[in-house]
Amino acid sequence: MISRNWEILENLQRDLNSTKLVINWDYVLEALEELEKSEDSAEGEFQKACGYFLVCGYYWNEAEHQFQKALEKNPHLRKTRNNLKILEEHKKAFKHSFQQLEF
Amino acid sequence: MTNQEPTSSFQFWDSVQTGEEHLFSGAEAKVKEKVKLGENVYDLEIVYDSFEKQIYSLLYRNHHLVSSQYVPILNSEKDFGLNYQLQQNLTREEENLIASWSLREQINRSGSASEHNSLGLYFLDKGLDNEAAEQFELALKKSPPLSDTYKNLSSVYLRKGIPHKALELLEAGVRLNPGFADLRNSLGWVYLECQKRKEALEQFNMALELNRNYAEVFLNLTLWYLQESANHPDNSQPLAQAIKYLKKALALDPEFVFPKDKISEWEEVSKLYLILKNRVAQKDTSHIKAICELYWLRFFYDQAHLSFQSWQYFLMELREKIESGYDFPDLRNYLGLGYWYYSFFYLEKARAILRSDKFGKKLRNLAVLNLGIIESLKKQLEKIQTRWER
Repeated sequence: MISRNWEILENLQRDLNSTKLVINWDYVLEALEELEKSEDSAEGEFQKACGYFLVCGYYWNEAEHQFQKALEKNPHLRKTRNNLKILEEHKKAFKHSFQQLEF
Repeated sequence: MTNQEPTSSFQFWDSVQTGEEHLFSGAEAKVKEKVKLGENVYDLEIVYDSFEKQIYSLLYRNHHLVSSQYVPILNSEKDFGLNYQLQQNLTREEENLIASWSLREQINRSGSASEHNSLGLYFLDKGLDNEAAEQFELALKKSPPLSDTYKNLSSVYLRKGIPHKALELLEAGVRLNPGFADLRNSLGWVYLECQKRKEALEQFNMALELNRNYAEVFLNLTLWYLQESANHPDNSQPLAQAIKYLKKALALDPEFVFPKDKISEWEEVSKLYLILKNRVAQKDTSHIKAICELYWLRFFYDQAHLSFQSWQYFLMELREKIESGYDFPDLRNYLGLGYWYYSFFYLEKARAILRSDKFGKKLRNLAVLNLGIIESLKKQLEKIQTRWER
């Protein structure tokens, strides 16, 4: 279980660094579930923490996706344009953090 | 001081089966909760109406019914049976009500005008008119040009049966915000209710000048000319005008096919007007927006009492609303922000684990390193937090 978890974390980290726009939520949530199921050991807890951190990246991508969908419906929606701009401005910093994570 | 004395009870008026069977039992079921907040007693009831096959949320304030709202069941809870669904909804309603009271104390102490307005929207949605009026009035005191608040407070006055106060307020709002089509439309509507027809027409026309594609104004103008036509049946002009505006309103509703036969009768125009007005009412998003606003306030003011599960439920409710035909850009904007804030719960979970002392020598260094990355990212995130726009 524990060694499989390292593989899951590697996959989550790798996919976050890719330029893929579509998130496979079934895969991400199943991966998270697997990590949460792991035995109550220090290693399992550490893996869980890494998983929780990586999953943030997926939700930020999802937030970006929702802003884009809003703008498809109304390209002039000022508040959403601003929100999307903020996300895009900080995307590099987010990605860098996920790359830095070590396990 | 908040005085909370929740008492719980679970009552079935008849034996209710879970799953599909309850649909045919003819039985009605409810769960209820009493909450004392300050001087007021609030009774919450979640009721299953077996004839309508719907769940409703009822709220009583000091034993007077103030609201009855239809509660959609989440897809993820559909398989759990009626008992579970009722109980879950009761828990959430109670949590929101108690949270709103605690927010009221904090925001009355140090909140901004827009925070008062946000909290007022929740109270307005729950039919708590006095609580809503208090928040909107405080919002206007702190920021008189806040255009939405005029509209919101005027809704409270209209519901309380004091249209002249609604009128005074909207007139003041329009004087301060002459370029807001929404406010002019609201003022026009209240003029119409008060039989000030000339003034109503003037406001509708000015609203149209500000927003050429304002469907609701086209409908209000349709009504205005329909009434004019009824008052002057010998004059064909008002009916022609009503038809003109109805066509404009219909053209803005892509799901509605304009009848092929020529519309010429007053009754036909009136019927189409009512259908369209009903469609506009069905697309109303004020309830879900009020919930969104409440959750942002809870996130910023009351995170200690806001659980991961509550936020998850809120996101599911919003997402399912959008997927059920309410795919509006401002709801998507809320959903985007909702996902953004959802990640904070995960970030916190990660931090809590990495900060613990459960790691041996082998993992401790990695935990410290990763914690440093998370802490530094969190600081960056907190900096941009105030820039998000709802």
